[in-house]
Amino acid sequence: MIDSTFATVGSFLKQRQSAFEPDTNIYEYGEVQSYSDTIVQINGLSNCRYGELLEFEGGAYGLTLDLHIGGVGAALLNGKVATASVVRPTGRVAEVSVGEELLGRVIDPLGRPLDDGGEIKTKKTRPIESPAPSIMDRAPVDTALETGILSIDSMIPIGRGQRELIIGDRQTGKTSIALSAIMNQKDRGVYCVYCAIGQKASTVSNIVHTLRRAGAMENTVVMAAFSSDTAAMQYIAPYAACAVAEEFMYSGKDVLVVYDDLSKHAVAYRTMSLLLRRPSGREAYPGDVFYLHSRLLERAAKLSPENGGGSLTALPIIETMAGDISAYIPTNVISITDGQIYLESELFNAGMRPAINVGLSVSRVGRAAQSQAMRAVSGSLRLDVAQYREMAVFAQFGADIDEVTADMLRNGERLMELLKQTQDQLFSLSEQVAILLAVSTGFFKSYDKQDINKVRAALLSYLHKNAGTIMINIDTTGKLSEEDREDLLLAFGRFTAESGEQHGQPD
Amino acid sequence: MKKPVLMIAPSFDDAGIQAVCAAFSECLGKPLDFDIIKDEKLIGGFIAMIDGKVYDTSFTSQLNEIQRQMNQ
Repeated sequence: MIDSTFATVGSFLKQRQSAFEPDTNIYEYGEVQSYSDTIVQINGLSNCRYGELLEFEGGAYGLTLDLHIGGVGAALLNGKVATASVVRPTGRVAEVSVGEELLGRVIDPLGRPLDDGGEIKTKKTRPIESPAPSIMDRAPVDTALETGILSIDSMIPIGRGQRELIIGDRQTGKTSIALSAIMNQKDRGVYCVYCAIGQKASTVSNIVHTLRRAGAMENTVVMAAFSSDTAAMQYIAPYAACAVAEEFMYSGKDVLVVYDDLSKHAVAYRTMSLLLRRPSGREAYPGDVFYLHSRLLERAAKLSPENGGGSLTALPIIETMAGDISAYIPTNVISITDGQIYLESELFNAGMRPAINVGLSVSRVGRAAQSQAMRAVSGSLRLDVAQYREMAVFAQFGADIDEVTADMLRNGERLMELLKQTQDQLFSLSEQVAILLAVSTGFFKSYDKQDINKVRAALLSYLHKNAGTIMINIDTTGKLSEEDREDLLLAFGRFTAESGEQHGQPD
Repeated sequence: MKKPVLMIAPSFDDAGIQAVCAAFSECLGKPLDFDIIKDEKLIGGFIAMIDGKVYDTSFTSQLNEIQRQMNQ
């Protein structure tokens, strides 16, 4: 048996070897004319194409970004080059290794490992740039991508295949929301790709540890181009992350990609453009900075069943300066995406976590992507929050308020407390439905504002214990039947009675 | 572009080098004045760099190509 296997392998190798025909290899070469700030000007290479990968002497690689008569301009991806050294075009565009082998790993934009897990034995590669799926290849966004965050899932629902921007100032919890969304995909069959662009290595290390602790690294690929990497590396990072995600999408999986963040990506591209002496426009960004992000985000899609039915949901992050969402890059990305989650420093400092401004946040795919159960209970929630905010501003002046308004304020205050969540405190669909149903019936009004967090936790554990089948039913079917609704309401009543017996009647 | 370069394996003698140079001049239809570099890393064959083009017949490149094809 063994002998025959050896014989087969031997004859196969011999066949492959004899099939090789020696031939003169004729190719173009160029010569490095100048090299400064990772931009290389090259003489020759008259047949080189835009975006082609160039190989330099000494193993360095570069990306062709500028074609002119007599030569090309390229951005160096790694290594160093010497003037007058020889450059060889590879005939390929930049590629990244893809496949399930990458799950749980931390890689750079060329697919090389950055963690201590050793070599990654992937079988496939994919060009980092590829055209977005066409209209006929797509299907409407109709399934929810649950983030586990009550305020998002109820008021700004994200669908599988949607592009939802997370925007806000520094230190407002943008990354935190994205990480919660990734953590919530654990055991749901959704693969995640987190792409860090121009971030500190220490920040990425923290993120990886957070994901590992939550057990969410198993279905996640982390791609990182650090702030110490070349501008070209930072420039290709989101495209490479998208290519990794696309491989999963085209094999029929649902994928979530987080680009953290596209402001730094635009800055890296501006650096390269200015060094390549391209004309600069608004805020010194080059003219094609809109195309830079639109061609990336257009690759997010929900594929039709004939194409496998996979989806690629994109959560790009944009950092604003002093809350200015009318700057160049924020307005561009707002107009490209299907909605935005707007985070505010004032809310964050007031202790509202996540600090989502519900008025300025929107999801353009909207309710189509919400489950029936969530639709049934979250109908007027947005309006309630908006009304409460407006009333709360008036009430600050100590104006006389009637009983109806006072009631609205009381309910609103409790609602605000209920919308507060820490990063690892994620709610399942059934839990969210139960909380919102309780809010709509005024259940929380009888409890003190300070106790809301405790009461919420106690109620949820009570429901899991005493109404477990209903909760499981909601989670599996995504529907809230009339009977289940009645049973939940009865359970709320029993909980109030039982907790009243233990702690004295609530006021 | 700069002067043409001929990197050639040490196994070639002067007559062989002259023959290679003459063949290139004839193929490209112009006299070529090569800078000749003997390089034992090529193992056999030669690499000529003329007007932005590389003509590579070196054994090293052929072996690399076999390795690439065997790995596929």
